[in-house]
Amino acid sequence: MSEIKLLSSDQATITVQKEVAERSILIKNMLEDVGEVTEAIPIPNVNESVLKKVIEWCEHHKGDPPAQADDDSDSRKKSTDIDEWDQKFMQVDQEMLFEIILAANYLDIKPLLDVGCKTVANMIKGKSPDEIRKTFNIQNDFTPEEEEQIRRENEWAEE
Amino acid sequence: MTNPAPSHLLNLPNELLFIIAEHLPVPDLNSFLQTNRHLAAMLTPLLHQSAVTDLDGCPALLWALGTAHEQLVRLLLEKGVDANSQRNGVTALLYAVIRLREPIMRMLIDEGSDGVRDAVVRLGESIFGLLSASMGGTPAGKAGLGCRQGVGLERVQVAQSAASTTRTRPPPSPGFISLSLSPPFHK
Repeated sequence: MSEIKLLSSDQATITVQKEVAERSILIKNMLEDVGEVTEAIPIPNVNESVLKKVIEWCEHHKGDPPAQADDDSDSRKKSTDIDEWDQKFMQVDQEMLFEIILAANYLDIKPLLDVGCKTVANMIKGKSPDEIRKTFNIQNDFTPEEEEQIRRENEWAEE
Repeated sequence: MTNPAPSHLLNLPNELLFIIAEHLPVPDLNSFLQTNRHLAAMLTPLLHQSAVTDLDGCPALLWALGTAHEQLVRLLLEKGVDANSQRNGVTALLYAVIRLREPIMRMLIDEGSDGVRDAVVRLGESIFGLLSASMGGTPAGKAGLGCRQGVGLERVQVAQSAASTTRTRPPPSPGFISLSLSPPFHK
């Protein structure tokens, strides 16, 4: 099994199985383009701790079948079911969660991006706007009038 | 160029916030976008789109009609809400009639199928018939019926069922609705 090296933004070199690293479409395409590489591949947007976490996910999911063709169907989008291992994996603080989402997006690891976004969606579900603000420390920058107006305009969307 | 640490949800790029929002059912999406101006501006179009794709647009359309929110009605129709949509048998058109919003009725008629136009005529006939009966044959259309805002849906449903079956309740008092079936509706 061939191995490749990745260089994180904070200059840490991480050795990883090629098959695992190729869960990242970015890395997969890069390797296809350049062929054999001996030097570490720089991943300038991802620091060591996040990269290790992402690789941990890729290792667990290296045998996953490729995404279905109807991947973009609405049912998939709307579902927020997350498998048990992924749920545990995502039990991290918000900063790490957002870093994982960004890294998955940058490295083009769609299933991981999906799990990350679903995790955030689940943190939003069932909450009032005020509870959501508290959860994510979002500043309410509406005037009371604007807030009332948008609430009224969207009344139809309430449960 | 390295990105600053996204320790805050709103530091995520818009396209990622959008993916997160796409995972939310309509009521949660609504709560989410009401937290902050940025989210409201970005996600309101998605909410309207979800109203069309997730809810068949019906609740949104009926609600918009109920409040006579012309702009929202237009927007929903533009996004592909079926002007023939209905919920519990109450059609969009009936809702418009309840609120006596002629411009909106016209919009629905223009967007809708022949069925919508037929429905206007049928509805007009049944209301007309009912009012005539309850007023001892006075032509309702000429009775100078005033418009009472906020007339209950229930009453119109009663009116509908009363017109087709035997009446189970006392008829609504005259004047609960005025509907003018002037030529534009028969085009």
